Amino acid sequence: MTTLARSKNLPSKLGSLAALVLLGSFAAFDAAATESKSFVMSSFWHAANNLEGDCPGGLNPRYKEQWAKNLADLGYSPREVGEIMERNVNGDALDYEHNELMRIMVNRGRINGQAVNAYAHPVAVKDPHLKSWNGKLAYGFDLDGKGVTPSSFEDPESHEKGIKHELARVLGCNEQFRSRLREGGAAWQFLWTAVKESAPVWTITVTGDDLSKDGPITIQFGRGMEGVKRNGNGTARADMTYRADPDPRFANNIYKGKIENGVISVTEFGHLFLIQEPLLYPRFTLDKFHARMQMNKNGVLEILIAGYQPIDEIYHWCGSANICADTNFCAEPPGLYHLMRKFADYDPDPQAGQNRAISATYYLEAVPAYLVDVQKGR
Amino acid sequence: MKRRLLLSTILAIGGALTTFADARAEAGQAAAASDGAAVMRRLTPEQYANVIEEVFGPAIELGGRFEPDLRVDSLNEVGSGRVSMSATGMAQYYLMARSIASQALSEKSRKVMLPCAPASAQEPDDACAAQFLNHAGGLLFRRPLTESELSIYVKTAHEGAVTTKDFYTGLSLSLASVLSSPQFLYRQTTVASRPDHNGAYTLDAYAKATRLSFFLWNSMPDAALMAAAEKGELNSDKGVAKQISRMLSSPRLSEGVRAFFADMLQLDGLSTLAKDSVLYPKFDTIVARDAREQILRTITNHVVDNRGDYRDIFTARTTFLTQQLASVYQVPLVNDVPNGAADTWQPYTFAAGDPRVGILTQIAFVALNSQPGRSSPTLRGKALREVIMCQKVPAPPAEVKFDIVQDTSNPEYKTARARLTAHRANPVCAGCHKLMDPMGLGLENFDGSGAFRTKENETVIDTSGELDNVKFNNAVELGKVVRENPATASCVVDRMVAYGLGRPVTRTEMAWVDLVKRAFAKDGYKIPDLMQTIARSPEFFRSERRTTETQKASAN
Repeated sequence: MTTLARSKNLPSKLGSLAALVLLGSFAAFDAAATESKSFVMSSFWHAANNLEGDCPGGLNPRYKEQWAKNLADLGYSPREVGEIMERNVNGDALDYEHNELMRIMVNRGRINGQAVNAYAHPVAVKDPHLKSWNGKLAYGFDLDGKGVTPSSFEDPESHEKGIKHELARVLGCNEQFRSRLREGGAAWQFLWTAVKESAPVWTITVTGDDLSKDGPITIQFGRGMEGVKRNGNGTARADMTYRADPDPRFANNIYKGKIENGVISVTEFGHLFLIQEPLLYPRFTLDKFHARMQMNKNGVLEILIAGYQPIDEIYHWCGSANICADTNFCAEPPGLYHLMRKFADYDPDPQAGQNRAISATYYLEAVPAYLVDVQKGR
Repeated sequence: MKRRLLLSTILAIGGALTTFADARAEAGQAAAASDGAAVMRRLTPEQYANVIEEVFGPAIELGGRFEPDLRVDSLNEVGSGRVSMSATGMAQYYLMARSIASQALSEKSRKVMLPCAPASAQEPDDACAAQFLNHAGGLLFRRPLTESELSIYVKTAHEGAVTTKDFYTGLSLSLASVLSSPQFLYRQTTVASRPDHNGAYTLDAYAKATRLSFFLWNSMPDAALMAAAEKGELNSDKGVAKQISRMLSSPRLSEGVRAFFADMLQLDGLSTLAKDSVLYPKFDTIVARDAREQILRTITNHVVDNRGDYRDIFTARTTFLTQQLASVYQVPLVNDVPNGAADTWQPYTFAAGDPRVGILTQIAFVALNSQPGRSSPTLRGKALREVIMCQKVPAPPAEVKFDIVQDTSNPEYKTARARLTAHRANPVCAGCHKLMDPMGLGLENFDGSGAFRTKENETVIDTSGELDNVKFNNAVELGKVVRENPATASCVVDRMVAYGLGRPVTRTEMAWVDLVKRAFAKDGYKIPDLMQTIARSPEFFRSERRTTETQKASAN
């Protein structure tokens, strides 16, 4: 049975939360559960912490410069490169049929000497050796539990050491991705803006005996049936009602966790599976899933989620946009794919030994909401 | 060609303006008469839209803007008998008239609208034009056209058709002239030819029909009411009672009740209500629009659909919500429609123990009577006194400083109660604030946008107060106190009488109003019964002598 009720008094750091939903399904996980609070995601991007000077070799080239380099790598002479660029570089990137440069860039992959789509087959493109990020402070968690290692980071806010977050190295020296945590880089802003109105919301539900106190809780991630609702000023609207997506694929996204000093965190590191807008992440999976969240003074829940993510899933939004990605938000996708292979740190291929997943941390914002189980009624 | 068309248009506008100027003078004189004189009221925007829909169908787009309403004695309906019309306002009415006429006689609509076809579409056809204008004009004027009126409008159609070489364009110009005339824009109050033994006059049958239909339905008389007027049935009490009974049982009664309460509660303020989007991000134009609809749905459902006790609107937990409103009220509400589909209205009952009880806790009251960036116990108390209980609160003196009240971040005064207490230290302020603040403080759990809160500046809000020496602890108890206060029931009667008459109640009518109040109480405070009592009273149709004199003078 699903019931709806008001919240008890909440701890000061969670005090502005008023939305409360008791979902009967939680009884299965915590028989003593007496209250739940739900939230819907209002922002989503990579948890970056880019500072001046953290790319000692400079940033990776912008797309026009990269295209010229790619032409040279393909064997074009400097004069030919100049002429091709001159003739085509300002052309319409979508006009594949009439733009010689676009055709060359798209078909620059080589498999057995045959030209193939570079975006669909990034390993068929010669590694352009993009520069990687060299910062020391990165958001995230000690995903493997091995503590400080030569490649680990320190979290800039929790100051936990031994942070595993290799995706930060891959993206950190590309202008489109560089940002601070709560800003979101240009690429992510572009992607999120494109998907946020149409993508069904991700939902987060926290359940516990008494959410006003420190103690054990359960945290469930899921999806709603509606897109995020907004205020007149464009910000996500709090306290709206959403229908929970009953898709059984989300049923296992439930984790043990705790509240400690107003900080909610996952303590049982399982597997996260979610679905997002096809433009971004049709599938979004994280192994050894970690999460930490806290309410800010504006009543917005700030969330870090992290885990090991298949690099092919990350590459999807970059590669599927084909050459449009170059000009819009992701210069040199095949080069990024090579970087991800280089820094992948999890799930080695049993045959080749190549790691297939990379440690990654994402920053989410969420607002209080009512989540209703449509299958069980109100 | 262009010149002739221009001349024809000027002829049409000129005709309208000339008659308008006469009528405006007449209306002005009538408004100046203060003692029971019937007034000629300008159609409100809603009434205008209702009439156009009745006559030409719902597809017609008005596409213009109206001159602002004037609130007199707390009612726009009273103000509608006092308003003038600027040249710009008249131009707007004429533009709307042209647009409506052109849509009504468009190629697609004319077959339905016209009872006849012209002999030639390129030439005048006076017979066909007369047939149409007589019918449409009768509906729009809420009475049969006089011969001279019809003759002028047929002539305008004729001239227009000759000038434009198009029968329909000519007819459209004439219809625009009808729609721009004071006989349409104002509700006339023609009186019967002979006074009663006291020297007062009663409205004639068509004026009675118009008064009844706008009072009960907020629109023009329907065919049955017009027929009753034509047959003389409205000249007898029995005939009037029969029509009132029929009208009260119509679903259109809800429209009349909505219009009355929208006016009484001054909900027009919601259409221009702005809030600080940083402090109150949820409050936008959609919430303001829905808040108006919520309170009107709540009231009509209670007093019309359920025939409930009027006073219970201050204590009822039942209402209607959209998802947008539900988010402000912080309650769940499933909208079982596809993404992007329009929000739907759903009945909702606030749970026992919930602080939302009655219309005083609705956004339409607490947000409307607040400042853009903070709540206002003073404004809320003032609205309670003036709007709900018909009591007068003096305006603040000119030189009063509001610094303490306005500074919500002053660490010395963390709550509105503390700030107002400090403000009342000024004896000049204390007298009037004592009338308002103790009531308004009971609603302090609702911030400037109407959202619930328990604290202000991290300080627990004290919502205790008193109304006319009756103490209460919170908004729920305040609702009960307001419900039981005799001024509450008395006020709605006063307002409804003034609303129906279009003017304040006169001294000589007070005895009648007292009787109406007693009947209201005896009938269990039922709004439809109250409307019936008022509408069946001879006083409802009576016009004192001064109006008669004015009309005679004007006619001469």
